[in-house]
Amino acid sequence: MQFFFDIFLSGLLQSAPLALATFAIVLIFRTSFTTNFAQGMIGTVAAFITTYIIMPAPDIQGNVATPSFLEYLVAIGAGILVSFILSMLIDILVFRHSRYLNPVGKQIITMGVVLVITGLLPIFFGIADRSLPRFGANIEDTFLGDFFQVFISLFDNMGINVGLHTMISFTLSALIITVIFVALKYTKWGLGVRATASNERVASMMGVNTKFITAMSWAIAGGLGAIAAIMISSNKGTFGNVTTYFMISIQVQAFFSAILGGFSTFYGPVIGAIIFSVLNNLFGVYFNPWGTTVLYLTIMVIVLFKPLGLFGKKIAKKV
Amino acid sequence: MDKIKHFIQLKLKNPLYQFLLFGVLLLLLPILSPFMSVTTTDALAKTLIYFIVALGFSLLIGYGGLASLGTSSFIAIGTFVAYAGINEFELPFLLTILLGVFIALIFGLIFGIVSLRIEGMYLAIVTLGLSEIMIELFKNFDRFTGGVSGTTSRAIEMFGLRLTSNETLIIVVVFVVLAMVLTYNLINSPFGRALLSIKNNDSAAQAMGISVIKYRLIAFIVSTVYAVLGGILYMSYVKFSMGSTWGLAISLNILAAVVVGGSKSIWGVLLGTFMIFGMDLILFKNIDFLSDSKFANLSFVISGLLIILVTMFYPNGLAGLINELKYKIKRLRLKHQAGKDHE
Repeated sequence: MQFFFDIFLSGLLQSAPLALATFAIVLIFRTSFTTNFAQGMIGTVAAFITTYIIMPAPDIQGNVATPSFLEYLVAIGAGILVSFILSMLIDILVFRHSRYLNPVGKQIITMGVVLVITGLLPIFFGIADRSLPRFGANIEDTFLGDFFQVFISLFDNMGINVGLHTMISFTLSALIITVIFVALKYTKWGLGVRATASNERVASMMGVNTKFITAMSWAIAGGLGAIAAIMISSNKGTFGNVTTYFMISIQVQAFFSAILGGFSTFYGPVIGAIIFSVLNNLFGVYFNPWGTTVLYLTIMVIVLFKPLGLFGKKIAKKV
Repeated sequence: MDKIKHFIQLKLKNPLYQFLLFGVLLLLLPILSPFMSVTTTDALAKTLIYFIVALGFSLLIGYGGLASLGTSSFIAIGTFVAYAGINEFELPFLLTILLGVFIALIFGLIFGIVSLRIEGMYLAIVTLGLSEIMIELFKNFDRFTGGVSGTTSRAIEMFGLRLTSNETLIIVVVFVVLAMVLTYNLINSPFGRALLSIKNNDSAAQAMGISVIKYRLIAFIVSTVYAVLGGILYMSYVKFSMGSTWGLAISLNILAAVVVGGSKSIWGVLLGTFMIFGMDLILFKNIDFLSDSKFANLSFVISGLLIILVTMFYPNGLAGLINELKYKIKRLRLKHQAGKDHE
């Protein structure tokens, strides 16, 4: 029993970045009615910007940079800001003009964006390996370090080993997701998003500024993707953890979490991401090295019986 | 003489004869190859192989209205089936192809059923997951895939002879023509019409008694078979394949080729394939300024931009654009004629 508890808790703690990435995908799905394949790539841009600010020329010896807490914070902020703006620009320049395309057509456009960013990254940042340090290393001597140390020792008493990085990622993600859910429920933007999600045309007739809502949703999704990308790439803390393609597998995981939870609610995919993470940990123990593969296949079987996901609601389609 | 000319013109109106003529023209390639550099011949051969894959993909996207991101893993499966067939089991080439088709059917069926059961849009996600699974599989099944270092195949044997690459190129050309003819016939069969009606309005198609999932599934399986065939031909021509090279980028480039060229026209797909795959090999590799390794993926930027622009403004692709121009010229000419007649 203790073993399963351990697996569950560490899965829950590790699920944080995945939950952010999944939520970003669903946010765009609900407002633009397509699955955004460029999500991971937009996050990758943020990770590259962050590495560039910390260490403009990558170290040939393979050392990871050791920025101070403030430096790192500024770099991450800049990365998130760039993704935020980039994502908004994609909506304003491209998606605003192709609103009435069918969903597959929109998907194809996002795939085009993936290709563009894939090609541009080496031109701007060169082909050498880049890397991000872990969050924990430079925060230990500030008050935040002591704050998180309390929680870590709490988990230690339960017999679970949690790193500082995982702890910070989890706390930050939980905070962000809570803020967004509160915003969805109580702010004007949230009301607009929900109205747009249920019917875009009617919402715009009722005076909802759907253009602004969609652009903001894209921007926020871009920012969330950026945070997820930075958390995931820096998690390893080793040299060369930021590459052009590092987000693809995370993106696939996020998509499968969203399918598992169902695209039709906002909370479903987040729970889906947590379930995915926990099961990934569990299967990793039993089916090594095929853990993730078995998990993907399991989700496909689940979807075969529940096509709308675990928390999906059936939406009647009018002809 | 006029009679013969007229006869030829009449026959060339039939697309099937056009395909045959194209095949005959392509057969000049092996003859001309001593005069071309090896890289150019290789590039053309690879482009032709990708053209076969793109044809299958055009059925899926142009007629089925579905996008898939698993194309490159299916090509990879084809290459490794070819490796196993030629080197491990020492099967005849045609039997290897049959084996490949059989495996393609199984994979297409499994992944098609799962993803199409949800909704057409999810095919891209599930096939993206498939390609992730495949990369893991290729890494671990190193008997057939060579793991991370890849495999090198022997040349294929046919009629008791070991074929040179020029002779393999002839086989590729034969398959290109076969694929074109097959695609043309599929499009103009009840299957093609049913697919088109589903793409235009699936509710209406369903009301007319067309089973949406059945036809979409068949379209997906057919495109899988084309991709695996492409993989087998790739292995028999290039003779080398490595699991990790078959990633997302190749799938996306094939998508770009089909979308940019025009997913509903066989000639459009050809044009698109040559643009996307030819651009990199013929154009960029010969410009000094762009030969720096950081510009290696510059062609991705262009094909990505082309995908976005074409999907937004010209959903019928280059082929549609050319048709539109033709129509406009014809109308201008008719107007001119009418003006003259009026006088």
